[in-house]
Amino acid sequence: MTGAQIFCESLKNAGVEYIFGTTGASVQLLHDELKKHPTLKFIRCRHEQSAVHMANGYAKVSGQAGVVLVNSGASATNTVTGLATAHTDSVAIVCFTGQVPLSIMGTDAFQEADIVGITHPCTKHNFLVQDINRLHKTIREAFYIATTGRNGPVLVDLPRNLMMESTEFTHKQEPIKLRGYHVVTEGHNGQIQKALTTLLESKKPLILCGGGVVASSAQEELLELAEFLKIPVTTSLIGLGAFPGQHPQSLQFIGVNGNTAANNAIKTCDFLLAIGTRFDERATVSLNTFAKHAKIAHIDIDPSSISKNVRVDFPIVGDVKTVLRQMNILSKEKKELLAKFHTTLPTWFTEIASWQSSVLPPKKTQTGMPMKFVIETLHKVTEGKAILTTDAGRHQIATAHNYFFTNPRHWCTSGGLGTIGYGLPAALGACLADPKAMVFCITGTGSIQTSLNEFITAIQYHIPLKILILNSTKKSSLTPDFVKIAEAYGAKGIRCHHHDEIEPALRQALSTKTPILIEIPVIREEDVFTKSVDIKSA
Amino acid sequence: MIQKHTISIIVENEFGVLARVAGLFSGRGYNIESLSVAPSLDPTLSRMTIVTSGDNAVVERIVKQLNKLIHVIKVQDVTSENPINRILSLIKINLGQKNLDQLKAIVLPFQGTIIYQDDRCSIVQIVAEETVLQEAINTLKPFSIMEFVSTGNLAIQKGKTAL
Repeated sequence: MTGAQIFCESLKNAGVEYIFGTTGASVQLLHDELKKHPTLKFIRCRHEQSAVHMANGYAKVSGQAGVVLVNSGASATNTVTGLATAHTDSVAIVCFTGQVPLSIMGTDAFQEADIVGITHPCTKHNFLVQDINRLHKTIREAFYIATTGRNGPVLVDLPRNLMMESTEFTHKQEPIKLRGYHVVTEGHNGQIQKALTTLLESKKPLILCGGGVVASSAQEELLELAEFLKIPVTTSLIGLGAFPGQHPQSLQFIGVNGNTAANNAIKTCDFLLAIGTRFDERATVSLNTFAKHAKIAHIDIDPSSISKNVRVDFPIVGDVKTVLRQMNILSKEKKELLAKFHTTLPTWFTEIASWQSSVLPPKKTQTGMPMKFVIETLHKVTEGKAILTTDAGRHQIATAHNYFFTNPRHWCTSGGLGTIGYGLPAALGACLADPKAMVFCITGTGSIQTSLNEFITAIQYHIPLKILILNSTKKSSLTPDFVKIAEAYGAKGIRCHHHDEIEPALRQALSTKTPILIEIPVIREEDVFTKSVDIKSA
Repeated sequence: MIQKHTISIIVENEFGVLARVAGLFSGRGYNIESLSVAPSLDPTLSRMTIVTSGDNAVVERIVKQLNKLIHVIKVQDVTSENPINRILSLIKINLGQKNLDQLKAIVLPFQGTIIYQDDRCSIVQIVAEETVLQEAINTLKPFSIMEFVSTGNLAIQKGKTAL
């Protein structure tokens, strides 16, 4: 088989359905071959950064690797922001870049870029395939590395000459052996026991969950543990949805932009069970005061994440789903400790409730409304079951605060890198990952302009893109007429002027199968954060 | 407390591995004071020895992040194991044949040998620990050193343990 044929067979073996990307000279042979394989659907994007964001949204919603194929040179370098976004949030992506033929590599050829060198720090791993006989093995290893352990983007650089060369190909899948890569799944039972015993002796316990719970699809195990122990649960920004937002034990999310009640709970707790989170500085705010009264147990699949920022008393390396299962079994054996533990919890919950009840609700006004109201209306209309993607900014935080997710794979946002331009393409990827879902991209007037060019991708591939622009700019600012832009793209555009136009507009969006854009004026000065009395550290 | 740490790393002998390891140090602001790398007895593996400085928490972080790299097979901070350290240096002295005996006497206490000489220069080879090497250099300075080429520090543990 030729390299191009091996490429297609390898992707089919990996169960790939969609490939996002662009075309060009270095990948022309691959595209010629792809056309002969109708199960591999290529989505041609306007910009490679968006292609990677599409793969990102697809991966987050489907739980499988998002796949990208782009040309060499500028096309490859355009993927860097997308790869860095995925790397920081640990999203599984396999990105194939075309490359000039091996014989002219290093000669500053046309559309040549040292993409492997450029992406060393922002990929989990990358490969340059130099031998046709290693092509199939490399692709299999790329998928394996991207989707196991702590997920991440893997780049595979494909020199054009390999696509024409031929070699033997067998569908037989030998087990993958990587000497330097071992994934620990089960947690150490002794450590889990110690952590659990100390937790059951605490008076103010708290669970903190992050992106790792989502990546591990461990929401059921988490719910079982939290409900059995009856303790409060908070999340990081990207962990939202890992625990049902409207559950009585939910405190929403912590951090610089988080809920004050959640932050107060962190400051006051005497035991913190951290699950699949990396203690990012947006979440911890100040490492000096973060959970300083608490004993901390940390479950994470990445040993380098444990005790990196926050000193940990009970480190537990393992896959979140597996470890929580172990914990659920072990906790059922501790009936005596549990009974005593439950008697002290009501005091803790009363304290937490006092922080939650002192929140002041923002006011509705005639011209321009609070972002909170828009998101609450969206929640009502979609019954909390929509998939939401955002860009970065106040609209992102307003969405995080006011949409109570019920499913962890419904929240797609750029947490670690805060990438503007993520929302629209991620929504396209999400739509393709779950064609039956309601998917909304929530964005601002500046953010939407970063990847607005992908609107045509939605039109071309009949993807039901729904964009909600929260326009908080002053009348004097220069923003284009987004409704006219939507219409220029052949889509529907709606502008809401009054707060009672929002619900009908959203319902119209739900019943439309074609792309739609809704622009809603919102108040700029409103504080998107729920404000309540902030306790001082003791 | 900031101190020097010697880290031994076994890596796959693959394209780009050195760049990746060095990149991890530079990308996170860690300093590489010296670096030595060569294929091991197994030609598919290379061994790297890196000397860096930092406090224990920082070095522990470096070791964990090195372990994360797919091509890194084993990493160990060998400093506390009290390994044997050696650096190989080649020093070119501006000294002809007539002062050869004098030069031999000077380098002998530092385990140095003269591996080349002609009318215009002599090349001294010293294999020793860093402190011994430093003393040797100080002693040779009056003879005007024309060129100095050195490897990074190599470390090997005593006893049964081997990386």
